[in-house]
Amino acid sequence: MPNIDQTLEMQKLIQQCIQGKTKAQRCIYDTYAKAMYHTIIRMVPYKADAEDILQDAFIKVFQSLKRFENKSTLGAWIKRICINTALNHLRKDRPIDFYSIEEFPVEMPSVEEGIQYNVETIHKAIKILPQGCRTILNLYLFEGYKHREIATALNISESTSKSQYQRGRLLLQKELKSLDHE
Amino acid sequence: MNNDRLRDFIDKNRNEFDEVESPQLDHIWDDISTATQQDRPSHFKWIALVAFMMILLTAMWYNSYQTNQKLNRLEHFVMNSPTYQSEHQKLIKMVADKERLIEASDIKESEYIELFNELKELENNSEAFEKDFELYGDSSELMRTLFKNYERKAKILELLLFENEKKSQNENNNRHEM
Repeated sequence: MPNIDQTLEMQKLIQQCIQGKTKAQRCIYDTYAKAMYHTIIRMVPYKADAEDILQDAFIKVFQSLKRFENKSTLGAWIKRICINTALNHLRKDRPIDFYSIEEFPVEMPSVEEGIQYNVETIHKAIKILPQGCRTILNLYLFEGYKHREIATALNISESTSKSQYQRGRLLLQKELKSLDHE
Repeated sequence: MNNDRLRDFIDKNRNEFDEVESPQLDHIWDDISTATQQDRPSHFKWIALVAFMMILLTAMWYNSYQTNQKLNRLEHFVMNSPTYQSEHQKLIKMVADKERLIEASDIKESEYIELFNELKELENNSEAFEKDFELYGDSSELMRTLFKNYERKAKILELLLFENEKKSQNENNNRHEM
Protein backbone atom coordinates (compact mmCIF):
# COMPACT_ATOMS: atom_id res chain seq x y z
CA MET A 1 0.00 0.00 0.00
CA PRO A 2 1.53 3.39 -0.92
CA ASN A 3 2.69 5.48 1.98
CA ILE A 4 0.89 8.72 1.26
CA ASP A 5 -2.01 8.27 3.67
CA GLN A 6 -2.90 10.93 6.21
CA THR A 7 -0.43 13.44 4.88
CA LEU A 8 -1.36 17.03 4.14
CA GLU A 9 -1.04 16.27 0.46
CA MET A 10 -3.57 13.45 0.80
CA GLN A 11 -6.00 15.72 2.65
CA LYS A 12 -5.67 18.23 -0.18
CA LEU A 13 -6.29 15.49 -2.73
CA ILE A 14 -9.39 14.32 -0.86
CA GLN A 15 -10.80 17.88 -0.82
CA GLN A 16 -10.15 18.24 -4.54
CA CYS A 17 -11.87 14.89 -5.18
CA ILE A 18 -14.91 16.08 -3.21
CA GLN A 19 -14.97 19.19 -5.45
CA GLY A 20 -15.10 16.81 -8.43
CA LYS A 21 -11.60 17.51 -9.79
CA THR A 22 -10.73 14.71 -12.17
CA LYS A 23 -6.96 15.00 -11.79
CA ALA A 24 -7.16 14.42 -8.03
CA GLN A 25 -9.54 11.47 -8.49
CA ARG A 26 -7.16 9.95 -11.02
CA CYS A 27 -4.27 10.38 -8.60
CA ILE A 28 -6.12 8.50 -5.84
CA TYR A 29 -7.20 5.84 -8.33
CA ASP A 30 -3.64 5.34 -9.57
CA THR A 31 -2.42 5.03 -5.99
CA TYR A 32 -4.85 2.31 -4.89
CA ALA A 33 -6.45 0.67 -7.92
CA LYS A 34 -3.98 -2.17 -8.51
CA ALA A 35 -3.91 -3.33 -4.87
CA MET A 36 -7.71 -3.11 -4.70
CA TYR A 37 -8.04 -5.11 -7.90
CA HIS A 38 -5.96 -7.93 -6.35
CA THR A 39 -8.06 -7.87 -3.18
CA ILE A 40 -11.14 -8.29 -5.37
CA ILE A 41 -9.74 -10.89 -7.79
CA ARG A 42 -8.80 -13.15 -4.85
CA MET A 43 -12.47 -13.07 -3.80
CA VAL A 44 -14.13 -13.06 -7.25
CA PRO A 45 -11.78 -15.08 -9.44
CA TYR A 46 -12.99 -13.85 -12.85
CA LYS A 47 -11.14 -10.93 -14.42
CA ALA A 48 -14.16 -9.29 -16.07
CA ASP A 49 -16.21 -9.48 -12.84
CA ALA A 50 -13.30 -8.19 -10.76
CA GLU A 51 -12.85 -5.20 -13.12
CA ASP A 52 -16.56 -4.38 -12.95
CA ILE A 53 -16.47 -4.57 -9.14
CA LEU A 54 -13.39 -2.34 -9.03
CA GLN A 55 -15.17 0.20 -11.21
CA ASP A 56 -18.33 0.18 -9.05
CA ALA A 57 -16.26 0.41 -5.87
CA PHE A 58 -14.30 3.47 -7.03
CA ILE A 59 -17.48 5.21 -8.18
CA LYS A 60 -18.83 4.63 -4.63
CA VAL A 61 -15.55 5.91 -3.18
CA PHE A 62 -15.74 9.21 -5.09
CA GLN A 63 -19.45 9.60 -4.41
CA SER A 64 -19.07 9.09 -0.65
CA LEU A 65 -15.63 10.61 -0.06
CA LYS A 66 -17.21 13.58 1.74
CA ARG A 67 -18.27 11.11 4.46
CA PHE A 68 -14.69 9.85 5.00
CA GLU A 69 -13.86 10.77 8.60
CA ASN A 70 -10.13 9.98 8.95
CA LYS A 71 -10.91 7.29 11.54
CA SER A 72 -8.82 4.92 9.42
CA THR A 73 -6.41 5.47 6.57
CA LEU A 74 -7.92 6.30 3.20
CA GLY A 75 -6.47 3.03 1.85
CA ALA A 76 -8.21 0.96 4.55
CA TRP A 77 -11.48 2.85 3.91
CA ILE A 78 -11.29 2.22 0.16
CA LYS A 79 -10.42 -1.47 0.79
CA ARG A 80 -13.50 -1.87 2.99
CA ILE A 81 -15.67 -0.46 0.18
CA CYS A 82 -14.03 -2.83 -2.33
CA ILE A 83 -14.52 -5.88 -0.08
CA ASN A 84 -18.17 -4.97 0.61
CA THR A 85 -18.82 -4.43 -3.10
CA ALA A 86 -17.23 -7.82 -3.87
CA LEU A 87 -19.28 -9.53 -1.14
CA ASN A 88 -22.50 -7.94 -2.48
CA HIS A 89 -21.59 -9.23 -5.92
CA LEU A 90 -21.07 -12.76 -4.57
CA ARG A 91 -24.38 -12.65 -2.65
CA LYS A 92 -26.19 -11.34 -5.74
CA ASP A 93 -24.86 -14.21 -7.84
CA ARG A 94 -26.01 -16.82 -5.32
CA PRO A 95 -25.87 -17.15 -1.51
CA ILE A 96 -22.32 -17.82 -0.36
CA ASP A 97 -22.05 -21.49 0.54
CA PHE A 98 -20.58 -21.79 4.04
CA TYR A 99 -20.30 -25.28 5.49
CA SER A 100 -19.55 -25.90 9.12
CA ILE A 101 -16.66 -28.12 10.12
CA GLU A 102 -19.12 -30.55 11.68
CA GLU A 103 -20.70 -31.12 8.28
CA PHE A 104 -17.42 -31.41 6.45
CA PRO A 105 -14.80 -32.49 8.97
CA VAL A 106 -11.31 -31.94 7.68
CA GLU A 107 -7.97 -32.33 9.30
CA MET A 108 -5.64 -29.39 9.49
CA PRO A 109 -2.36 -30.36 7.89
CA SER A 110 0.10 -30.47 10.76
CA VAL A 111 3.19 -30.26 8.60
CA GLU A 112 3.32 -28.36 5.33
CA GLU A 113 6.61 -29.88 4.30
CA GLY A 114 7.58 -30.50 0.75
CA ILE A 115 5.76 -27.41 -0.59
CA GLN A 116 7.83 -24.55 -1.92
CA TYR A 117 5.67 -21.43 -1.61
CA ASN A 118 5.53 -19.07 -4.54
CA VAL A 119 3.46 -15.88 -4.87
CA GLU A 120 2.01 -16.70 -8.27
CA THR A 121 1.20 -20.32 -7.36
CA ILE A 122 -0.58 -19.28 -4.16
CA HIS A 123 -2.52 -16.62 -6.07
CA LYS A 124 -3.55 -19.19 -8.67
CA ALA A 125 -4.48 -21.84 -6.05
CA ILE A 126 -6.64 -19.43 -4.03
CA LYS A 127 -8.70 -18.60 -7.13
CA ILE A 128 -9.52 -22.32 -7.57
CA LEU A 129 -10.93 -22.76 -4.02
CA PRO A 130 -14.70 -23.03 -3.41
CA GLN A 131 -16.29 -19.64 -2.95
CA GLY A 132 -17.18 -19.87 0.76
CA CYS A 133 -13.82 -20.93 2.15
CA ARG A 134 -11.97 -18.79 -0.42
CA THR A 135 -13.71 -15.65 0.90
CA ILE A 136 -12.85 -16.44 4.53
CA LEU A 137 -9.26 -17.45 3.73
CA ASN A 138 -8.72 -14.20 1.89
CA LEU A 139 -10.23 -12.00 4.57
CA TYR A 140 -8.23 -13.76 7.30
CA LEU A 141 -4.86 -14.31 5.60
CA PHE A 142 -4.62 -11.31 3.26
CA GLU A 143 -6.85 -8.58 4.67
CA GLY A 144 -6.13 -9.09 8.37
CA TYR A 145 -9.72 -9.66 9.48
CA LYS A 146 -10.33 -11.48 12.78
CA HIS A 147 -12.82 -14.37 12.82
CA ARG A 148 -15.26 -12.19 14.79
CA GLU A 149 -15.09 -9.47 12.09
CA ILE A 150 -15.50 -12.07 9.32
CA ALA A 151 -18.53 -13.51 11.12
CA THR A 152 -20.12 -10.04 11.29
CA ALA A 153 -19.29 -9.16 7.69
CA LEU A 154 -20.64 -12.44 6.30
CA ASN A 155 -23.47 -12.86 8.80
CA ILE A 156 -22.24 -16.28 9.96
CA SER A 157 -21.10 -17.64 13.31
CA GLU A 158 -17.52 -17.23 14.45
CA SER A 159 -17.12 -21.03 14.59
CA THR A 160 -18.26 -21.34 10.97
CA SER A 161 -15.64 -18.79 10.02
CA LYS A 162 -12.94 -20.78 11.86
CA SER A 163 -14.00 -24.13 10.39
CA GLN A 164 -14.19 -22.70 6.89
CA TYR A 165 -10.74 -21.20 7.32
CA GLN A 166 -9.31 -24.59 8.28
CA ARG A 167 -11.08 -26.24 5.38
CA GLY A 168 -9.74 -23.59 3.04
CA ARG A 169 -6.21 -24.12 4.29
CA LEU A 170 -6.47 -27.89 3.65
CA LEU A 171 -7.85 -27.41 0.14
CA LEU A 172 -5.20 -24.80 -0.57
CA GLN A 173 -2.42 -27.24 0.42
CA LYS A 174 -3.89 -29.82 -1.93
CA GLU A 175 -4.10 -27.33 -4.77
CA LEU A 176 -0.55 -26.11 -4.12
CA LYS A 177 0.77 -29.68 -4.17
CA SER A 178 -1.07 -30.43 -7.36
CA LEU A 179 0.18 -27.21 -9.02
CA ASP A 180 3.67 -27.96 -7.71
CA HIS A 181 3.67 -31.32 -9.51
CA GLU A 182 2.57 -29.81 -12.84
CA MET B 1 -1.26 -19.55 14.67
CA ASN B 2 2.25 -20.45 15.67
CA ASN B 3 4.72 -21.78 13.18
CA ASP B 4 2.38 -20.99 10.28
CA ARG B 5 4.68 -21.06 7.24
CA LEU B 6 1.99 -20.02 4.78
CA ARG B 7 0.94 -16.99 6.77
CA ASP B 8 4.54 -15.93 7.32
CA PHE B 9 5.21 -16.23 3.59
CA ILE B 10 2.14 -14.15 2.73
CA ASP B 11 3.03 -11.46 5.31
CA LYS B 12 6.61 -11.26 4.02
CA ASN B 13 5.55 -11.01 0.39
CA ARG B 14 2.27 -9.12 0.87
CA ASN B 15 3.04 -6.37 -1.67
CA GLU B 16 4.03 -8.90 -4.34
CA PHE B 17 0.58 -10.49 -4.04
CA ASP B 18 -0.85 -7.16 -5.26
CA GLU B 19 1.30 -7.21 -8.39
CA VAL B 20 0.54 -10.66 -9.87
CA GLU B 21 -2.04 -9.65 -12.48
CA SER B 22 -2.26 -6.77 -14.94
CA PRO B 23 -5.80 -5.42 -15.00
CA GLN B 24 -6.88 -2.87 -17.63
CA LEU B 25 -6.73 0.02 -15.19
CA ASP B 26 -6.83 2.79 -17.81
CA HIS B 27 -9.93 1.33 -19.42
CA ILE B 28 -11.63 0.97 -16.02
CA TRP B 29 -10.69 4.58 -15.18
CA ASP B 30 -12.40 5.85 -18.35
CA ASP B 31 -15.71 4.38 -17.16
CA ILE B 32 -15.24 5.66 -13.61
CA SER B 33 -14.38 9.13 -14.90
CA THR B 34 -17.47 9.23 -17.13
CA ALA B 35 -19.71 8.17 -14.23
CA THR B 36 -18.24 10.67 -11.76
CA GLN B 37 -18.38 13.55 -14.28
CA GLN B 38 -22.16 13.07 -14.53
CA ASP B 39 -22.31 13.19 -10.74
CA ARG B 40 -20.69 16.56 -10.20
CA PRO B 41 -22.07 18.73 -7.37
CA SER B 42 -25.13 20.76 -8.35
CA HIS B 43 -23.43 24.18 -7.87
CA PHE B 44 -21.50 23.47 -11.08
CA LYS B 45 -24.84 23.46 -12.88
CA TRP B 46 -25.70 26.84 -11.33
CA ILE B 47 -22.34 28.30 -12.28
CA ALA B 48 -22.84 27.00 -15.82
CA LEU B 49 -26.34 28.51 -15.92
CA VAL B 50 -25.13 31.90 -14.63
CA ALA B 51 -22.25 31.85 -17.12
CA PHE B 52 -24.68 31.05 -19.93
CA MET B 53 -26.99 33.91 -18.87
CA MET B 54 -24.02 36.31 -18.73
CA ILE B 55 -22.94 35.30 -22.23
CA LEU B 56 -26.52 35.66 -23.51
CA LEU B 57 -26.96 39.13 -21.94
CA THR B 58 -23.57 40.26 -23.26
CA ALA B 59 -24.50 39.03 -26.74
CA MET B 60 -27.86 40.87 -26.54
CA TRP B 61 -26.20 44.07 -25.33
CA TYR B 62 -23.56 43.85 -28.08
CA ASN B 63 -26.22 43.26 -30.71
CA SER B 64 -28.23 46.25 -29.45
CA TYR B 65 -25.07 48.38 -29.38
CA GLN B 66 -24.24 47.39 -32.97
CA THR B 67 -27.79 48.19 -34.13
CA ASN B 68 -27.66 51.61 -32.44
CA GLN B 69 -24.32 52.31 -34.06
CA LYS B 70 -25.75 51.41 -37.46
CA LEU B 71 -28.84 53.60 -36.89
CA ASN B 72 -26.65 56.51 -35.79
CA ARG B 73 -24.48 56.12 -38.90
CA LEU B 74 -27.63 55.94 -41.07
CA GLU B 75 -29.13 59.02 -39.40
CA HIS B 76 -25.90 60.92 -39.87
CA PHE B 77 -25.82 59.89 -43.53
CA VAL B 78 -29.45 60.89 -44.13
CA MET B 79 -29.17 64.21 -42.28
CA ASN B 80 -26.17 65.16 -44.33
CA SER B 81 -27.50 63.96 -47.68
CA PRO B 82 -28.31 66.71 -50.25
CA THR B 83 -31.81 65.31 -50.86
CA TYR B 84 -32.71 65.50 -47.17
CA GLN B 85 -31.25 68.99 -46.85
CA SER B 86 -33.26 70.16 -49.83
CA GLU B 87 -36.50 68.59 -48.55
CA HIS B 88 -35.89 70.01 -45.10
CA GLN B 89 -35.42 73.50 -46.50
CA LYS B 90 -38.65 73.11 -48.47
CA LEU B 91 -40.52 72.09 -45.33
CA ILE B 92 -39.16 75.08 -43.40
CA LYS B 93 -40.22 77.39 -46.21
CA MET B 94 -43.69 75.83 -46.36
CA VAL B 95 -44.24 76.27 -42.62
CA ALA B 96 -43.03 79.88 -42.79
CA ASP B 97 -45.41 80.60 -45.71
CA LYS B 98 -48.30 79.08 -43.78
CA GLU B 99 -47.46 81.24 -40.77
CA ARG B 100 -47.32 84.33 -42.95
CA LEU B 101 -50.67 83.37 -44.44
CA ILE B 102 -52.21 82.97 -41.01
CA GLU B 103 -50.86 86.34 -39.89
CA ALA B 104 -52.07 87.94 -43.12
CA SER B 105 -55.54 86.51 -42.79
CA ASP B 106 -56.47 88.45 -39.68
CA ILE B 107 -60.12 89.43 -39.98
CA LYS B 108 -61.29 92.78 -38.82
CA GLU B 109 -64.54 93.25 -36.86
CA SER B 110 -66.30 94.96 -39.76
CA GLU B 111 -65.36 92.05 -42.01
CA TYR B 112 -66.99 89.61 -39.56
CA ILE B 113 -70.31 91.40 -40.00
CA GLU B 114 -69.90 91.21 -43.76
CA LEU B 115 -69.07 87.48 -43.59
CA PHE B 116 -72.08 86.69 -41.42
CA ASN B 117 -74.33 88.72 -43.70
CA GLU B 118 -73.02 86.80 -46.66
CA LEU B 119 -73.64 83.53 -44.84
CA LYS B 120 -77.20 84.59 -44.14
CA GLU B 121 -77.71 85.55 -47.78
CA LEU B 122 -76.27 82.23 -48.94
CA GLU B 123 -78.65 80.50 -46.54
CA ASN B 124 -81.55 82.37 -48.09
CA ASN B 125 -80.31 81.46 -51.54
CA SER B 126 -80.18 77.79 -50.53
CA GLU B 127 -83.81 77.88 -49.41
CA ALA B 128 -84.82 79.62 -52.68
CA PHE B 129 -82.93 77.03 -54.74
CA GLU B 130 -84.68 74.22 -52.86
CA LYS B 131 -88.03 75.74 -53.78
CA ASP B 132 -86.89 76.10 -57.41
CA PHE B 133 -86.04 72.39 -57.34
CA GLU B 134 -89.59 71.59 -56.31
CA LEU B 135 -90.99 73.91 -59.02
CA TYR B 136 -88.67 73.18 -61.97
CA GLY B 137 -87.25 69.81 -61.19
CA ASP B 138 -83.59 68.92 -61.38
CA SER B 139 -81.50 70.72 -63.99
CA SER B 140 -77.73 70.67 -64.28
CA GLU B 141 -77.63 74.48 -64.27
CA LEU B 142 -79.55 74.59 -61.00
CA MET B 143 -77.36 71.86 -59.51
CA ARG B 144 -74.15 73.71 -60.44
CA THR B 145 -75.46 76.95 -58.90
CA LEU B 146 -76.49 75.14 -55.70
CA PHE B 147 -73.06 73.45 -55.50
CA LYS B 148 -71.26 76.79 -55.90
CA ASN B 149 -73.48 78.21 -53.18
CA TYR B 150 -72.49 75.42 -50.79
CA GLU B 151 -68.86 75.76 -51.79
CA ARG B 152 -68.87 79.45 -50.92
CA LYS B 153 -70.58 78.69 -47.58
CA ALA B 154 -67.96 76.03 -46.77
CA LYS B 155 -65.10 78.44 -47.54
CA ILE B 156 -66.54 81.14 -45.28
CA LEU B 157 -67.11 78.62 -42.46
CA GLU B 158 -63.57 77.27 -42.88
CA LEU B 159 -62.17 80.79 -42.67
CA LEU B 160 -64.15 81.48 -39.48
CA LEU B 161 -63.06 78.17 -37.95
CA PHE B 162 -59.42 78.83 -38.78
CA GLU B 163 -59.65 82.33 -37.29
CA ASN B 164 -61.22 80.92 -34.15
CA GLU B 165 -58.44 78.32 -33.73
CA LYS B 166 -55.80 80.97 -34.22
CA LYS B 167 -57.34 83.13 -31.50
CA SER B 168 -57.42 80.18 -29.07
CA GLN B 169 -53.79 79.44 -29.85
CA ASN B 170 -52.80 83.08 -29.23
CA GLU B 171 -54.68 83.10 -25.93
CA ASN B 172 -52.87 79.96 -24.80
CA ASN B 173 -49.51 81.41 -25.76
CA ASN B 174 -50.22 84.63 -23.83
CA ARG B 175 -51.25 82.60 -20.76
CA HIS B 176 -47.97 80.67 -20.86
CA GLU B 177 -45.91 83.83 -21.26
CA MET B 178 -47.60 85.35 -18.19
